[in-house]
Amino acid sequence: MSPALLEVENLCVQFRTEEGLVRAVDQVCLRIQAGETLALVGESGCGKTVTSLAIMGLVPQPPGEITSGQIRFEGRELLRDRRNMRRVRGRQIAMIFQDPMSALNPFLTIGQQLTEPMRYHLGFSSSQARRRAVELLEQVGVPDPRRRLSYYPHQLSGGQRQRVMIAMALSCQPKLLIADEPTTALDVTVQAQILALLAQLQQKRGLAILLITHDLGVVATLAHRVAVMYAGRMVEQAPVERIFRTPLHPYTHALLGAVPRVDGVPAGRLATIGGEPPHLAQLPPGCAFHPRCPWAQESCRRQRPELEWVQADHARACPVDWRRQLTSAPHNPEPNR
Amino acid sequence: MVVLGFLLRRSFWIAVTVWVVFTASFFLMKAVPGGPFDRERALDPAIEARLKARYGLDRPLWEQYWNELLHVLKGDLGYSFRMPDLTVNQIIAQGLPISASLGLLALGFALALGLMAGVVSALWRGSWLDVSLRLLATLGIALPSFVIAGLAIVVFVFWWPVFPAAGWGSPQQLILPALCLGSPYAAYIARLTRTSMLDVLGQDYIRTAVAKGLPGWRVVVVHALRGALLPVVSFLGPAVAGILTGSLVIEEIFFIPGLGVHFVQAALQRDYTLAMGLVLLYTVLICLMNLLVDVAYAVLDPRVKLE
Repeated sequence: MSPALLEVENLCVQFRTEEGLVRAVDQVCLRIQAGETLALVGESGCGKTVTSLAIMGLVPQPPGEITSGQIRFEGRELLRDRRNMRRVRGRQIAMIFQDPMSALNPFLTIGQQLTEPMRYHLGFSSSQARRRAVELLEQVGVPDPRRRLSYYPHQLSGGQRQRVMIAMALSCQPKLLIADEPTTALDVTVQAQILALLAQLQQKRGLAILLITHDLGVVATLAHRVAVMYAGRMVEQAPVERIFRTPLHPYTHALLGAVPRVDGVPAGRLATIGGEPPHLAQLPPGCAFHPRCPWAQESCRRQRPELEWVQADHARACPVDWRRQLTSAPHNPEPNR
Repeated sequence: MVVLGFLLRRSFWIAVTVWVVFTASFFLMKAVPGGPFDRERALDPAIEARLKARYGLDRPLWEQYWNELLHVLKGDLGYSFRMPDLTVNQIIAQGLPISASLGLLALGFALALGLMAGVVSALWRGSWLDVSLRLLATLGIALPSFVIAGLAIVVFVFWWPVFPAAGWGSPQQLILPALCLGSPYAAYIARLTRTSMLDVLGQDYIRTAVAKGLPGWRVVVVHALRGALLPVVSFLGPAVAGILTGSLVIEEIFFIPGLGVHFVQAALQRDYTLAMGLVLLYTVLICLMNLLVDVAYAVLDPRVKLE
């Protein structure tokens, strides 16, 4: 493998809450190469957003605490060295957030917010930055960009605000874009436009994207590789076609089974994963997924499986050879209790 | 155009408010037993009758009301009952500049100190600095102004004589009373600022600003401060009206010839004209300050429209 753009190793993040210590991220490892899209997938609360916040140095401390791990960007350690983080954040790594309604400052104009990173990081003059801002807005498909600069966020639609967020993130030509559920808060047609925009920008600029989502449709459109998280741990990592065709972790399998299909296959009742995601403060012993897993064995209750690379590009955290039983087992596994 | 229409509409409602306050105060004052010529020893009935006739108090109530309304509309508040050499306009013209300049200084001090303390508290939440500032703020709100003034005099006049004890005229005489007058406001502003700053710092757009890689001071000054100021601005409206019209306690302690004394004395002595003048002054100030707050809101927050 060529040296990765971003390497996360054994990242552990915990939060002190009223219900006790919560391990939101537990020994997570991931790598992103330049120009590739890695999708980080999982249910709400599985730790995918906290992972991305840790990369940006945005974990609120307290109550959060990064207890161990390393995050390297182009070989430079970000977690321990605040100078590196300051050099990289907003310039080499940029982030867009889930809700463009609240992520833009309501008190400042689009122009003020858009030119700010360029003036601060690249030392642009105000007129240089404004010229560049107009170009950026044009690129992300905001109509009449010159006039939009004097608008306030509340005067734009949700889709346009997300385009502004993207333009702002791209303004310093970062190498990595972290997109935390970039389309969740938007309506469906706008979602498709934003995804197309991201794909197009990536191709044009060779941008690497860390895409955080629970929407497998988004994963299929945009991702090259997929990392699946469950209850704070990484359970599977593989190229996107392999994840969709031959998932090696029962949780990934169940996630795929829960996607509504619109391709003509009689759908019937929408499949769900039985049971509930575990509370992070009271994780079951052994594999965190075993209470919901139809193939759970005695060992799953006792021993927590580690992430193993079964092929050069495919890792999983499940020692059970459950795929053999697939033909006999239902596609929609019910939990065994 | 929008702003002009807004100002016209608001002026109309201010006029209505002032009229309602005038009417209510007029009848309330007449309804309260006692009158301006009551003494411990009763006056000769003939003298009292002549006095009443001179001030028009022998006329039917509605006629008195109508006469006074006409005078007030002309801007003439009449002669004071208790200080018959002076018109109410003269009394206000003498006292208001003194109370107002003291008030402005106190306000400036309260704003500077309160905002700074509030922001520092919020940024270093939970630190010993935050805890001691909050303790100070609670004390500032809880201690009555005569206690604070007394302490200030003991410390800065007797122990460490840097300021004169009382009086009016020189800048040095201004500082101690302004500090005492402003300290409860400073304390309140500090608490307000801390709360709203913490609220703003938890907003998504602050996270965005940090993610953009901006330095901390820029995140606070450019992105957070504006939103955090809004609650302070709405508190300032009525507070300014109160602080400009003077404080009885502070003015008594420091021998300052301001308006504060008259507020209490006029009501106690049934000085109808002076009391009315002060009530109207206060009403107009409150209305103007609220108008100012609304305009300031629209300037600070682009989502607010003047309507």
